[in-house]
Amino acid sequence: MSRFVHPDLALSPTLDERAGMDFVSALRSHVLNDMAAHMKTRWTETIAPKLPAPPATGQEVHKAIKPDLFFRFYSATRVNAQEMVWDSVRGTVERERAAFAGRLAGLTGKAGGTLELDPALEVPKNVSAIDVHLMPGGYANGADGAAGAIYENGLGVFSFGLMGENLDDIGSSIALWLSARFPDFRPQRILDLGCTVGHQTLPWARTYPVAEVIGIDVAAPGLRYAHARAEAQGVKAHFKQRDARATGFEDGSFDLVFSSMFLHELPLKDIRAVFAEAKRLLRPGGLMLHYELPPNGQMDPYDAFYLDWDCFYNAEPYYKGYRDQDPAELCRTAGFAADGFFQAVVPSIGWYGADAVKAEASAEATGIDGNTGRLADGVRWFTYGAWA
Amino acid sequence: MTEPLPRAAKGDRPTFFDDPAVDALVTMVLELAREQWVLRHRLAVLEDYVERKEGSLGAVEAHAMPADKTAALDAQRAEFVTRLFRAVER
Ligand SMILES: C[S@@+](CC[C@H](N)C(=O)[O-])C[C@H]1O[C@@H](n2cnc3c(N)ncnc32)[C@H](O)[C@@H]1O
Repeated sequence: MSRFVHPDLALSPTLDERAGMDFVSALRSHVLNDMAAHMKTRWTETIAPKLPAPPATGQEVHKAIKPDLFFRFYSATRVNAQEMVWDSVRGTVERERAAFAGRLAGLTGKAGGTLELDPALEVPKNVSAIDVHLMPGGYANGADGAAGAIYENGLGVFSFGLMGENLDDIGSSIALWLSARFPDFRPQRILDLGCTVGHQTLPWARTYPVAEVIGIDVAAPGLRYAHARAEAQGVKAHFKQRDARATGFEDGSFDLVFSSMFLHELPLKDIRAVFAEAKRLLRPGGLMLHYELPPNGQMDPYDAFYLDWDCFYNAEPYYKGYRDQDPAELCRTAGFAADGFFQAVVPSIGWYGADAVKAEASAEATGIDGNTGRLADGVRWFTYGAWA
Repeated sequence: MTEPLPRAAKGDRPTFFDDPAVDALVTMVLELAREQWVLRHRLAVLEDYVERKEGSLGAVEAHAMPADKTAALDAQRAEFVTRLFRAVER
């Protein structure tokens, strides 16, 4: 059975397919932990000391490290491992595809959540024209939920355990942190933008059980999968095919507008449109909250370079454009008051435990470090918000 | 009819070496490595199965490995991956 997937949605990879997936996970862990550490050492001990002046930006680090033989092996291996992630699950999904569509359709009416698709919605270019993170076919491929299965099973291989048993470590960590940090904030209506298969949507319904929780995305396959997954897990949530830039919901109709790993997949003008839309959707006293990669402006040049790698080699063309922005400034430009802004570095609940997350909520905020937003052992999640 | 799931992502594949043949060889080596691992894993399962003489060969597919052997295999796999990079991790 596939790992990190609810039994009702799990596929049945063969023994060899399972071993292949485990190999790819081990390869990724080696690249992102061991090879990454080795590359950093090479940088500090061998490459950087030979430069005329210390680099001031991630770009300068990139330029200086590019000819290095180890950088080339690191990068080539990481690209191959990324391709192998999707390849390791494709065969299983393909073989079970027809039956799986039936299983998905059957998973409804258990928890009271709904699915609303809009075939007329235009899928924006950032989704239709690019196979983001080298995922063949992208999020919107096909009319069934197969692309959702590729995504969830692939993410299980990709994250080698760091996203938790339910692949929701980000949402679970951040929802727990928020509820501990602001115990009087009890959102009644919550929106998750760019929710894909709802991994980080459901933790909000679990944390705030009385709230109405809605996840939106432009890609139908993920939403089909998200609905079935939520129902299978007995968590009530509503999934709708809508564009986060113009959602069609009423002014002031949400208490919390959240997104996870979403903004860095958007062109800058769309990010601005999404922030303005979030501002419109929030009632006074409501909160816009994002889980994202930490900004370049708050990282040392090597760490900035390390995270921007995806922009150049992992089909993430908007990654650096987003990371070059200042989150506080983005919120201000969208009309949020400057004094309503906050940011935090939240320990992964799976890696550090719930007590560490709660402790972080009552302590002076931790600064961004090399583990922040970096999928490797000891990961911490960067989040920021603005009160409306 | 439903199109088969695509194998490759849109766009050019990044290359890192002066000679693109090296990039291709990296891929080949990694694919061989994956296959080599898959076979080795399967062999370990078969050996365990034969050792305990249970049922027929058809049961190998569904055979659950004992935790200690899985842990040993996990460690061997990590070791194997490390060895693969012997030439460059020095
Ligand atoms: C990296 S995924 C988000 C993952 C998910 N939020 C999570 O944390 O598990 C980005 C998602 O954004 C969606 N997306 C991209 N542009 C969008 C837009 N303008 N409106 C709504 N969704 C969009 C994509 O279809 C994709 O599913």
